Amino acid sequence: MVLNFLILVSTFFFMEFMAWFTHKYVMHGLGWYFHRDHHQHERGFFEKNDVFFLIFAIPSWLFTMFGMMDGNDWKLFVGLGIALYGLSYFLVHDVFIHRRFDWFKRTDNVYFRAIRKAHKVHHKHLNKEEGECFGMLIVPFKYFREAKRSMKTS
Amino acid sequence: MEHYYYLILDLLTLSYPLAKSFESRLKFVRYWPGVFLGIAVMSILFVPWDVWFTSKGVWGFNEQYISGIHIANLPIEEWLFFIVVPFACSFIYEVLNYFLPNSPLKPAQDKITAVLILVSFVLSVLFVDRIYTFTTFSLLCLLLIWHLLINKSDYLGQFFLAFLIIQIPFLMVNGALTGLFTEEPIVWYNNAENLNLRILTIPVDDIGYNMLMLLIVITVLEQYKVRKFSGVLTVS
Repeated sequence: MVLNFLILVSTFFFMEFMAWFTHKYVMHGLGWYFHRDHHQHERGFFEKNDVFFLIFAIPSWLFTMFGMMDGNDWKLFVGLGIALYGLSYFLVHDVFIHRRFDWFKRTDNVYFRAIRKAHKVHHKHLNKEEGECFGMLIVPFKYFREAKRSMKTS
Repeated sequence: MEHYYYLILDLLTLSYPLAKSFESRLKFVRYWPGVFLGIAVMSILFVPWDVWFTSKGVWGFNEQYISGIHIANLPIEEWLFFIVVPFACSFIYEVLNYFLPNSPLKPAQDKITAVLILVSFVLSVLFVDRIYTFTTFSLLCLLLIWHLLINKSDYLGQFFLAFLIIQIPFLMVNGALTGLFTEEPIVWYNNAENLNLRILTIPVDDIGYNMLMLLIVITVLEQYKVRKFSGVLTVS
């Protein structure tokens, strides 16, 4: 029980690493074809970039399915950890930062301010090659300091 | 006479759209190259698939109602089916484009597509052991994802509306094929490999199969239209 919980939590944090890694080296590399319309917006609600949700859903689905087939063993919790990260990523990145849905409009919290600022900095760059702040939930400390300062002044 | 039932059905399906192809308003004949290109592309997938499923006994043909001429293990009538059905359906699609150019489904096309992706994904996961259901809905799911996210097609609203209208002749033709009017079905299905749900006599999976088949043809047709009218591809 405790072990399964630990597996779930560590998978969640491992996915933050995976997200940073694939964002930096795949999406801004070979996968730029799918990621470009996230930086240079086109019409419509959906983006080619949404393909990455489907790609990351595959390991989650397989781990969950095989875990359940093997009597709810560790694989199930890896699958759930990936799914939980996907849900968080969607809520933070797509809803909170990019406002694809009209939810969480009144949040005012240092952590949320910091990750939003860091991601906006990432979006200053429109092209594949240059870039900074590839992480999502874990961002450099300076954005926390900035967020604190701006909260005091406002 | 009985031996020509399937052949007669093919010819009846073909007759009206063929006769109206040269009608002066729509001039469906203009779209023939695109339609036949689409049929060719679709057949590259659907003919081997059909040969494979026939040999596995997922479905089969009642010797009583076919002429007996076979090519690559498929009755000649089945080969004709892959030409006349998409031909007739493309005709309906273009008639709709002519008389109702602004599809009422267009504002909702992305939502409809997303729902269909979800439904076909769930069906292919739940029925992974039923080969007709799984093959049809996983391929349909992938094609719809390509349309929604990669190609961002703006003709899907029109396609879905045409597809709804097509269900009327589809009910007649496919009903006839699956034994609605005959003592035995012309084409039989092994219910262990499909959803085992029938609308009258038609397996529900056929709706997905039909959508996949037509959407491939319409996709090629639309690509052809874009190239023809923008002059990328010169057509003599």
